[in-house]
Amino acid sequence: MSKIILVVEDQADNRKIIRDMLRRSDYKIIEAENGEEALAAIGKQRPDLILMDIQLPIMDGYEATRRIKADASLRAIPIIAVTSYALSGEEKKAREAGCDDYVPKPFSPRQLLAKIRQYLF
Amino acid sequence: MTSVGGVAASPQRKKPPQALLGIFNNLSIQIKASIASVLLLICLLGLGANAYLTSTRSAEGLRVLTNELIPKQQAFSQANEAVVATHMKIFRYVSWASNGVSHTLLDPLHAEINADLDKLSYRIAALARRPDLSASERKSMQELLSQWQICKEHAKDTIDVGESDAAMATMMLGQTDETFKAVDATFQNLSNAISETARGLTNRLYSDAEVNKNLVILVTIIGFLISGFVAIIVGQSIVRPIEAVTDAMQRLRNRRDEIGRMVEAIEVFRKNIIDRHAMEQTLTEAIEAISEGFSLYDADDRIAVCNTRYKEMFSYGRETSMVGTPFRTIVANAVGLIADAQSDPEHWIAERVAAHRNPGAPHLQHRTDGRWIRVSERRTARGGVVATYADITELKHREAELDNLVHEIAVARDAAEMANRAKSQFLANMSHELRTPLNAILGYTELMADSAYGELSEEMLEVLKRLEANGRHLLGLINDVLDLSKIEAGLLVLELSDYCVQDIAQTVRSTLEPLAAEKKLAFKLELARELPPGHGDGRRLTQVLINLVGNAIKFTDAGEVVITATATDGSFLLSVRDTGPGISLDDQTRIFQEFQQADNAITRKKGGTGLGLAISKRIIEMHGGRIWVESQPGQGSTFAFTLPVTIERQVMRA
Repeated sequence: MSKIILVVEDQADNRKIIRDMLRRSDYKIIEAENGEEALAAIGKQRPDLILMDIQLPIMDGYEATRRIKADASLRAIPIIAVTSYALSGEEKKAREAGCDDYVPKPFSPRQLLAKIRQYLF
Repeated sequence: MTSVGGVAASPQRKKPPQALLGIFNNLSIQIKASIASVLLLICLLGLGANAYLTSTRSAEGLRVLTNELIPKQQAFSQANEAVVATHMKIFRYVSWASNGVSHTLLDPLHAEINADLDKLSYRIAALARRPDLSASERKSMQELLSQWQICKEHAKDTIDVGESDAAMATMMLGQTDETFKAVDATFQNLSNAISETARGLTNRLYSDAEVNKNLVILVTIIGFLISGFVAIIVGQSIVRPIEAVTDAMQRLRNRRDEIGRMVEAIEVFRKNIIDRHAMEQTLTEAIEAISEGFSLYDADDRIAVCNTRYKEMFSYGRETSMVGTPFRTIVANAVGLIADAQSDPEHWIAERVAAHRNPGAPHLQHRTDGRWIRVSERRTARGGVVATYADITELKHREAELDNLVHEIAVARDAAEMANRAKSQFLANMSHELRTPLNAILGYTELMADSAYGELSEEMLEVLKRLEANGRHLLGLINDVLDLSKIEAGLLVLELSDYCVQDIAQTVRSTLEPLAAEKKLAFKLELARELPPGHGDGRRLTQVLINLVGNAIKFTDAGEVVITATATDGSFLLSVRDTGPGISLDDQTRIFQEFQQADNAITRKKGGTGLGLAISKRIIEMHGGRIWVESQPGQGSTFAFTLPVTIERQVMRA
């Protein structure tokens, strides 16, 4: 059974790039455009990994991550923060919120794929 | 003299002189002085009385001598001389008669002798009747009178006979001479007796004078001795105790304990009393010299001291004495001067008097003439109040000016802060907005190049590579501009964590080695064998090193690029050495400034924003390190920086 990746990203282009990037792999993708949608999607189907954008409307990535990590049954799901706040203290803040890893934007699809493979064998 | 004050009243028995001295010592100084004066007075009175008595007696003696004895003796002598002269006339008459001198000469002489004899009889009788004769003289005179009667008869008989019978007269003359001699002898005896009396009197006067002289000397000596003795006793009874007190004080003063300090204090107090007048003078002058109004009120709230300035501040004349004026009076008179008192004078006076009696913090008085007076009042230990009135009108004006200035500055600062916040927000937005489309561009490009959308021709691959390179360059520019802007806005925060210099160097090499290889440059790492683990912002340090190595590769056409790293005394020393064209001395100082390469032709050819070195410099300085370049044109360049191995917090820009 193929692994499920939840992509939380408000930019359609970025969602498409990730989708295209993963097209030739056997990962199954579900998408959410903000934190609330992400939580709803997880409620329907438990993903194996989450790519979390931080700057999101309605509920941002920090808050969504904190809620997921606060749930004992979901805590084990690895969350990779993908954000363009590359400069001051974003990585630290993301890890404090509970993200397991961090990829700055603009990301190279090749590198992001390598990072995903570290968590999903 | 063995004790001071009451100690003399010791119960021990003493010998009388000592006991007397003891009693004397216990007498008051006044009584001692009185006793001495009385003794001296007695000496003087005795001397005076003695002088009076002796001089009275001498005067009496002299009077007797001159008024009685000498005239009496003269009377006797003159009478005796007259008797002798008559005797000689008789002798001459008899001599003339026996030599046959004529009667013309003899008769007058005869008559003269008779007259003389009668006169002498009268004179001697008168002498015998003198009242001042003594008993023995009176007796002698009685004898003389009888002798004179015989002598007179013999003389008359002799000259009467001489008229007729010279020989008989000569014979009778012998008897006559005898009687005259008897009279003369008696006169001599009387005269001698009087002389004797006079001599006795003279001798007594002499001896009196002698005794008197000796007495004066004696009494003077005794008086001198008494006064000397008394002076010594009185002096000692005054000086000794004072000396004893002084000695005792001196001994006590040498002590280092509380008593010693107390005695010192007493000494100081004594000197203070002596200097008090001078001090008062100095104090008055000092108070007068104070530029502020000064006043001291006593416990009854009346002025004890104030200076001219104070008087002026309450419109009193310079010459007016305010001493003794109650505070309430002064305040009531001042109502017209005080702006704050205009609305309700009575209330203001009451408030002011109450505040004066219980002074708090200094307060300000606004005067009707526009001046501002700062009133500072304090209670004194004796229950009075000391007050200073400082004219701070100038200060007040400056304060107002300053307040305006501060307000303006605050407004400007608020505006600046608002602008800065807007700028920060703008930067954050730009960061996101610029990168988001770029992310898409680069992402699609990479996916296409990886044949995610089907196989591509060589030419298309080449175009995609250029697309990616330009996109990455644009990303670099955006990152640099954003970094520098954040640094300028103070928004760049170091993320401190442990790092490893070797790892950083390896990361840099793996990132840039392909670039070096393209230009056929050797890329070397010369790292010290044992480098300590560092603590700082590893990602930022990587950024610095990538920037330096990137520049080195960019500007070097042949040779090598070398990263070196050593650690000494808690500091890393890292450098990037190249064999490029080198940098002139002028440019060496310029290149660390922002945008210095932006106008440079080389930069345009080589690419880059010219911000890399400025950002690197800031990052190293935020770590507490220092960055510099060593270079000579044609000799290559070495960019080096030091860095504390461990930093606890970032260094803020001054």
